[in-house]
Amino acid sequence: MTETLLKYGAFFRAAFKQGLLNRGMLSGLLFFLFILLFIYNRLWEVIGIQDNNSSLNTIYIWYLLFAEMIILSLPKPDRVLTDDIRSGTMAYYINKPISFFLMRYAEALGSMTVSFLVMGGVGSLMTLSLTGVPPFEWRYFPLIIIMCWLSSAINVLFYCGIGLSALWLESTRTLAVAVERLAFIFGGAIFPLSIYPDWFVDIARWTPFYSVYYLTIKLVYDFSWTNLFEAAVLNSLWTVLIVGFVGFAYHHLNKKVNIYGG
Amino acid sequence: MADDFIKTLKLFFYIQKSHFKTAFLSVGDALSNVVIMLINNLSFIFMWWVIFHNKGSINGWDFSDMLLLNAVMNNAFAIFALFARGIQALPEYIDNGSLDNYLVSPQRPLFMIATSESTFANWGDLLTGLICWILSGYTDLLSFALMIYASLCATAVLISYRLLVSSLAFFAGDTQKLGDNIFMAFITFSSQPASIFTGWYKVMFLSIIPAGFISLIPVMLIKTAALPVFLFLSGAAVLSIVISAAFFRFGLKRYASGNRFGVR
Repeated sequence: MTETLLKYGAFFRAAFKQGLLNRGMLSGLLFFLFILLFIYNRLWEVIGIQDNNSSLNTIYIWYLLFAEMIILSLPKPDRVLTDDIRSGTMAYYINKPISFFLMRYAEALGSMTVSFLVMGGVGSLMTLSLTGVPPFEWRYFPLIIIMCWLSSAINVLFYCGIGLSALWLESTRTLAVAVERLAFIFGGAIFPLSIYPDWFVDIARWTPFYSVYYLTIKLVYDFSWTNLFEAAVLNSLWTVLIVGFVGFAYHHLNKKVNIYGG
Repeated sequence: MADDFIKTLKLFFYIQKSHFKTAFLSVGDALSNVVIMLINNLSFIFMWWVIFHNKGSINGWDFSDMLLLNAVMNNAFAIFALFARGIQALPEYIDNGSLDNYLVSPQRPLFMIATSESTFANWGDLLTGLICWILSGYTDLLSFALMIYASLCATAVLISYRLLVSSLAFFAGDTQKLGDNIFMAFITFSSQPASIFTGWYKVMFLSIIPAGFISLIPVMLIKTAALPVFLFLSGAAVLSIVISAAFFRFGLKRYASGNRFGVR
């Protein structure tokens, strides 16, 4: 077990180090994050003045920061897996003493973690300078960060599953874009679902995005042990379902694998 | 002169026809991408509907203003992405030396670069523009004409800004990502209710990041049909074309061939 963890840990570390060296990509992410925070801070400031509620921007900008940490840190593992399947590259790995899927997942986790931590660190300072105080108590901050990182890890797994669906689908990119949009709207990626109509929230509840995004990120401004427990339970449930699908797809993949060319 | 124009127009339609053919190699993919783009845009609009439904108006802007903004912005972005997307790839062309291919073409290099790429999915943006305009309530003939004119001016500003940002590659290496991020910031600024930018923010909104010419001024024009607004927007469109084209030419003078060897 320890040996297995060490093996995939090596892939994680390699991707992490590679991600750290990609300064162009990281600075681009931070620039875009800053623009988003700046614009939406302005929006909520104006709405706050209108509503005589000066804490509005504090709540929603911290919410936005954590939502963007989950969304923007995703390294597109679906494209890597689709390319591996289409090009036959995976055939080279299938007879190695590693799981091809877990190798790619560990790599994607490594890349995601770099972006996540950099955006978390710099983004928190940016947001703090815009809002003054955070809407949570600092002692809960590590827990919120861990919960959001776990959500990001589930998100990566979800997109790996989309990559594996290249077995059956012509274009996984279209599916990935569709899922991205669904996550955006049903997960409350820009504005929390609390401001959406009830009928809409009732629909969103049946999607994985409700817990992976909204319930987890909501801990930023509404932390309680009950909310944490609810998010953890629902996230675990969705993880089981996603792992089930991935296991099924991977099993079929191993049977169907074709080698194109050399 | 007129002969030249007709020839260029013919070439333009020929290039677009070939982009169409390429996109329709996989009909299912092409159409589903258009639908997904439409759903994506409508989900954004739904998000704004939720905000305006809750708040009524934001600093004087209501949901119909937001729909007009989305009509103009989606039209402008669609025209850019369908007919001039190649400008976005200019830094890549400069960095890898493939710009040489366009420079030796008998046509104007900028025209050839601009039309070299097209994203079929952005037909979904044009559909979104139409839906937003219908829903906005400004559906009389004059408003329609003004919406079309405002969209064309916004397109000129948008393409010019992208050209300006892309031309930075003539002066520094590896600017593709930087350019993409600045352009993304510009689009993000354009897609917000313009009323949130007041004071110095508004100055910035109409100068360094001229997103106001995609959102604020076009919406004002459609709503008021005022001559000063019409002239202001037209002037900004012309000025942005002149500045960006001059900057591109200036950069082009500095360009040294990538000496790329290849067979075409």
